[in-house]
Amino acid sequence: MSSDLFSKRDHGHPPLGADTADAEANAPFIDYGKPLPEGYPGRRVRLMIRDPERLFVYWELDGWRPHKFAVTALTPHGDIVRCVEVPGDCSDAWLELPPGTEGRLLLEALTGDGRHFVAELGFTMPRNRPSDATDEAWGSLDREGHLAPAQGIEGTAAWPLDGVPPWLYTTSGR
Amino acid sequence: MPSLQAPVGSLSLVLHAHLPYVRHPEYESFLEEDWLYEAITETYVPLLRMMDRLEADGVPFALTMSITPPLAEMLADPLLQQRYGKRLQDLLELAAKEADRRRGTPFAEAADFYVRELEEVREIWEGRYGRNVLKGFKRHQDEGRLCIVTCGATHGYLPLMATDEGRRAQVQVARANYRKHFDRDPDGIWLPECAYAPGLDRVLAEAGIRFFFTETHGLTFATPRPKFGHYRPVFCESGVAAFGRDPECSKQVWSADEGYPGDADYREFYRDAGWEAPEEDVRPIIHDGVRRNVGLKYHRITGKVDLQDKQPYFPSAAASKAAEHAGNFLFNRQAQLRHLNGQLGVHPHLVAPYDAELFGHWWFEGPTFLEMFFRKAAFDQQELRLTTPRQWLADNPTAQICTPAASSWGDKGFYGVWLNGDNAWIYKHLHRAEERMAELAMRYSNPTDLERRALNQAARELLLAQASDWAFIMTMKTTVPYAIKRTRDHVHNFNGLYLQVTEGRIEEGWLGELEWKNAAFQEIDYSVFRSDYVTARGAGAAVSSRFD
Repeated sequence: MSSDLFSKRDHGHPPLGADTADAEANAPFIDYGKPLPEGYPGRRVRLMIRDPERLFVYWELDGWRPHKFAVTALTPHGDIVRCVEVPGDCSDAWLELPPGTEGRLLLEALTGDGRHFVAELGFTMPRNRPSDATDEAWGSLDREGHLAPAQGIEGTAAWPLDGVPPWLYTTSGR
Repeated sequence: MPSLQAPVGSLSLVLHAHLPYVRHPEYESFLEEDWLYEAITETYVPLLRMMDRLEADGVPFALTMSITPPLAEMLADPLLQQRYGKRLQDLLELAAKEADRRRGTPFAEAADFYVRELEEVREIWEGRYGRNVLKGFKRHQDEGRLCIVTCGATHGYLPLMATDEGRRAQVQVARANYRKHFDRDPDGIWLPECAYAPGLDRVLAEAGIRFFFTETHGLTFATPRPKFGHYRPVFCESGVAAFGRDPECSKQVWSADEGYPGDADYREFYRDAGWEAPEEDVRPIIHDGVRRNVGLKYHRITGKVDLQDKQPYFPSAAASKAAEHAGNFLFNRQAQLRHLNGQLGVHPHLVAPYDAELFGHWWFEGPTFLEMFFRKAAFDQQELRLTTPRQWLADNPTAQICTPAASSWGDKGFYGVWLNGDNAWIYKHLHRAEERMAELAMRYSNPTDLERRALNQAARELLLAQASDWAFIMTMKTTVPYAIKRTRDHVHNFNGLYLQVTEGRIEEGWLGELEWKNAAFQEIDYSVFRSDYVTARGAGAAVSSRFD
C-alpha cells in the first residue's frame, strides 16, 4: 500500500528485503544456516552504548552460572544510578540511564556466600542535546592535509534559527 | 543582501548506493540476487543514463555517490553479469507479452514504455558499458562530474565493533577495493548507516580519507557547538571534515506526508505483474514457482485506496510530475539558501543524502526528477551552486574544529536499529571473531601459501558476517531467515578456518569451496587486521571490553 511506503524507515522507502520477503516466507523450507557455539572459551564482559538512554552489556564467563548477576551503573563518585539483577543463566542485560551520564558499570555475581566482583567498565552515555560549549577554534588544511590554526569565519551563529523553517513551501506551492 | 543572481549557497546531492553481497554460485538462481538485478535495471543504469544525457547535452552537474565495496564487487562480477543478462532478457520477453496482452487497454502506454525502457537498459548496460556500469561511473568521476566515495568494506557498523583492528580493517579493505575499481584512492567515505562515534575520524584519517557525512545531530550536538550548525562542515581534530545531513532536503523527498514519491501520478510499487500476469509468462523470472514482484507495474499510486482500486499508470504524466517536483525542490532550496545566507551572513552548504535505490527502484520516477533538477539548476537560476564535498573543501579550506556527536541515520538517530532484542545475539560471535582475526594476523606473519589462503578467506568471512544489513533486516523483520543464515554461515566458516589454521590442519577442499562461494575482495590481505598497524587506538568505539 502506498500509505505504508515510508512508514518503516526514515530512509524513505521500504526496508531491504521488503520485496522478496513474501517469496522467502513462502519458500518450500526455511534455512537458518549453520549452528553457532553457545559460547566461547575465556572470560569476556562487553558494554555497548546503544543510544543516549540505553546500554547493553553481555558477558561470557566460561559457562559459570551463579544464582544471579547484578549490573550496577555508578557515578564517578560511587552513587548508584541504576541497578538490575538477572538470573544466573542470563548472559546479558539492558540498562536505561539518563543521557550524558558518565560513570562505571559494575558486574557482580550473587551466590550463596555473597556478592562477587566480576568486572567493571567505564561508560559515557551520548548527549541528546547541543553542547553547552560555544568556544570556537578554527583550522585550515595545508597541502599535506595537516590542520593549522586559522582565523574564524565571521557571521551569525546558527542556533537562533531553530523553529519552523520559513523557506519550506508545499509541493504544489510554486 | 546578496544579488538575486549571485550564488547564495551550495548544495551537495549525495546518493548512497549499497547492497549487501548477495552472490550465490552454489545455486542456479537465488532469490536475494534479485535485489541486485532489480537495482541495476531500475536505479544504477537509469542514473548512469541520466549522467550520460546531461553530459551529451552540455548540462553541468555535480553529484556525489557512494558505491560500496560489496556493490562494486557484484557489479564487476562475471557470474552475476551473466545471470543479470539472462534476467534482463527474461524480463524483456515478459514485458513484450504484457504489451501484447494489454494492447487497446488503458495500460497500453505503460506496457509499451517498459519494452522501450528495458531495451534501452540493455543497450546501455551491455552495448555502452560492456556489462559493467562501474566503467560509466568511473568515467564521469574521471571527467570531474561525479565524486565517488567509498564505504566500509562490507557496510559493517563501525561503532559497534569490538576492536580497533576490526574498524580499521573495514576502512582499509574498502580503500584497497576502491583503488581496484576506480584507479585512485578514495578521499571521502559514506560511513555505513551514517554511524559515527567520536574518534572514528582518526581511523579515516589513517586511510587518507578527507571527509565523511553525519546525521544532522552529529553536527548540531557536536562539541563545541558549531557556529553554523550543520550548514557548513566542520573539521575534526584529525583534519577530516564532517558534513551534516540537512533534514529539510530529506523531508521533501522521503516524508510520508510531504514527500514527492507519494504523488498520485507516480508508479505504485506494490501492484506488480509478478502477481497478475499468466503463470507461464512469469515462471522464468520467479523462483521455485512462488509469485513475487518482478518490476513491471502498470498502476499508479492513485491515492489512499486499496490495491485493487489503483488506476492505470501513465509514464508520460508521471514524468511531467517529476519535472514539476524538481522545479519545486529547486525553488525550496533556493529559498532556503537565500534565507540562511541572510541570517548567517555566510555562504551555507546543504547536504542532501539519499539511498540511491530510492531513485528508480522504490521511486520509479526518481532518476527523471534528478535529471530535471540538474537541468533546471544549470539553466533556470544562479543562486544555488551545485557542488560536491571534494569541491567545497577545495574552495573553502577553513572550518571550525569540533568533535561530532555519536549518531546514525536509523530510527531515532542512534544505534538502536542495529542493537536491540532482535539482533543483539550476533555481537558475541562477531566480537570474538574480530578478536581471533587480529590474533591470527599477528601470529602468522610469514604464512605458507595454504595458510595465507586460509587467513585471507577468514578475513573475507568475518567482513561478510559484519555487514550491517543482517542486523537491519532482523530488526525490520523482512527476510529474517536469510539474514540469520548469512550471519551464522559466515561466522561458522570463520570459526572453522580459525581452528584449522591454529591446529595446522587446513582442509584445502573446504577452503577452495569457501573461496569459490564467498569470493569478494580477491585483493584482500589479512594483515590489515594486525594490531601493530593500528594507530588510532580506541577511536570510534561504542563498545568497551574487559577480559582476563
